[in-house]
Amino acid sequence: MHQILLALGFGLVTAAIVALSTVALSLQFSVTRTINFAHGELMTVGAYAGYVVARAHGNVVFQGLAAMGVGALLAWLLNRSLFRTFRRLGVSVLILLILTIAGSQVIQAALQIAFGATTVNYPRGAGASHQVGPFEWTSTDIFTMLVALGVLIALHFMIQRSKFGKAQRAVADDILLARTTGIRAERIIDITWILDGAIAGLAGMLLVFQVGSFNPTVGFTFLLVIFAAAVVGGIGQMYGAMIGALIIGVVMEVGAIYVSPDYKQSVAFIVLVLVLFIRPQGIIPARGEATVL
Amino acid sequence: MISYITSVATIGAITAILCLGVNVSWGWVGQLDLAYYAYVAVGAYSASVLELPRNIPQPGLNYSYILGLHWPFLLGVAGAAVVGGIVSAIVGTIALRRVRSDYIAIITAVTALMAAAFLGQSPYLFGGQIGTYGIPLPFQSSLNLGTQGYNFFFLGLMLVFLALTYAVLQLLFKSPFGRSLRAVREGDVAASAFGRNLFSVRLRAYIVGGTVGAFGGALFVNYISAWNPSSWNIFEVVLILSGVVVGGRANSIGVIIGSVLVLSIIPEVTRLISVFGGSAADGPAVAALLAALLIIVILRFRPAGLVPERKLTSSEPQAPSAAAANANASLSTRVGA
Repeated sequence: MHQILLALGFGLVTAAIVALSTVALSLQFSVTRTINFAHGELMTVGAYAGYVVARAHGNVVFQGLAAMGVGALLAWLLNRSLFRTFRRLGVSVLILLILTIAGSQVIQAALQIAFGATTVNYPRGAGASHQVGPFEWTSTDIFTMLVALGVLIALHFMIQRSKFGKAQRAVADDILLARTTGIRAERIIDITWILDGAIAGLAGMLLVFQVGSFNPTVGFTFLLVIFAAAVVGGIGQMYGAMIGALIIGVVMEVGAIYVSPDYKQSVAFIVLVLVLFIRPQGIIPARGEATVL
Repeated sequence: MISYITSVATIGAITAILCLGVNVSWGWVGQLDLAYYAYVAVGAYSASVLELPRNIPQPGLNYSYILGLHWPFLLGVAGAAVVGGIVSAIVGTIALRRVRSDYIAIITAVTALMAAAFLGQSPYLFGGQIGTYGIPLPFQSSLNLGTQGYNFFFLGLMLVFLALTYAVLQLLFKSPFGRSLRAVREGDVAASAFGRNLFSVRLRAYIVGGTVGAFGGALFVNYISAWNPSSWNIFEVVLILSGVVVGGRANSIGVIIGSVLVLSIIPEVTRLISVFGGSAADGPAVAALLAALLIIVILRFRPAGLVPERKLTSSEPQAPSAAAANANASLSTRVGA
């Protein structure tokens, strides 16, 4: 029992990181309707940005801000260089997908040339261990969860209450209708990407802050988990993404008790396959999709 | 020099087979199969355990490969192709259940990542991280050719296999089955309205692709004689796909040209990086960078590839007799497929 609670604690920490990244992916998906295979690289550049600042003895707040800044910049560039250009050419979703894979490879190769392909260690201290209710968390764990929770709550209010959020939801719903009501759709899409990159970059930095060592493929490898969470939750759905992340994170860590931790990601995959068979539209289906497919 | 060129050409012929295989899914039907390299790996592993004896020749390792049948080369390659077909049938049944094209991409990508992680951790299947090694070069002991002569022989063998693959796929492409695949690609709703079972058509194409991939993988492992998880990752798929995109999807000649350009010429040229003062260790990264940029540039300025697929278009003016012949052809498609 103690072991399960311990794993549950780990699961919540993992879920916090997965949730951030999955929500970012969903946000971006809601306006572009295209899965971005370069999403993992937004996390990776965030991780390296944090790493560079940490090596220069910047404190953890600056590390996080650097990760957000670089992630946002890259996301904006991805939108301008790939998504917007090719959408105007009217290419199909699949071609866009291939382009995002190519983009992901360009970024990975560039990082490899800049930082080397070998694993580097993130300078950090895990901090003291705390007993919180039934769980045992380190200071790093608690910090990670609080940051994730803070960002998600801020995002919730931003999307639900602010004028930008209203416009963002309108664009996600129907871009033509949004345009006719005077919303500057391209600007909203730009800002959505920037938000996506900032949150994903932060998630990447938090991830390597947790696991310690990483290399240029860290984000791409983690993409598997993000996709699983996104599909389980219902892709393009912010709140579905949070639920999906919680399920995937907890199942992965608790599952690691029963099978070897090496197979942790396989557990996420099994959940994904089960969901695809039982409830292919995800837990919270995207509007107008559940019945069509 | 001549042996260098022979080895580049041999690998080029094998990768051209791999590109022809992925072209079935991506070029003909338009489904993005990111698990493709897993089938190449399945083929390589299967050929290894079919052709190798059971025991691992290294002392101190207390596991053995499954099977270990010690089959001859041709049987091993054929067996590997069959295994690839079976595995792709299983994955395809899961991945193609949903029609949404981006879901297929996600599920196949996830499958490939999982397969790599799983096989790397399981020493009792294919040797885990160490992989399989010591696969004998086919016919080498019985031919007595000398190193250079044998290399020529092997290259010839691969070119024969490439020609065979090309011919078989070309026949399939022109068959009623090939036509229904393209019909699904161009408009799946219309194709299903004409009585095509979308799932079955897609699945059959997927199995053909997986079989060719495993076949190519089996040839590959017979050449390089070893296989382990580090020799395949998901980006290999991107390289193979870029061969198809750059060359011209659904045009077999274009695909072969593209594969030579992206998978042979670019990697070999980037080996020269150290000559220009770069670090030789960056070679693969620079090759990957160039291949990916090439995909983006080609899709921007020449989206159909260097050698585009020849398509029948209705806007072309047609003589009455030709139009009638065409109508007949489309009728026979309907009846035949």
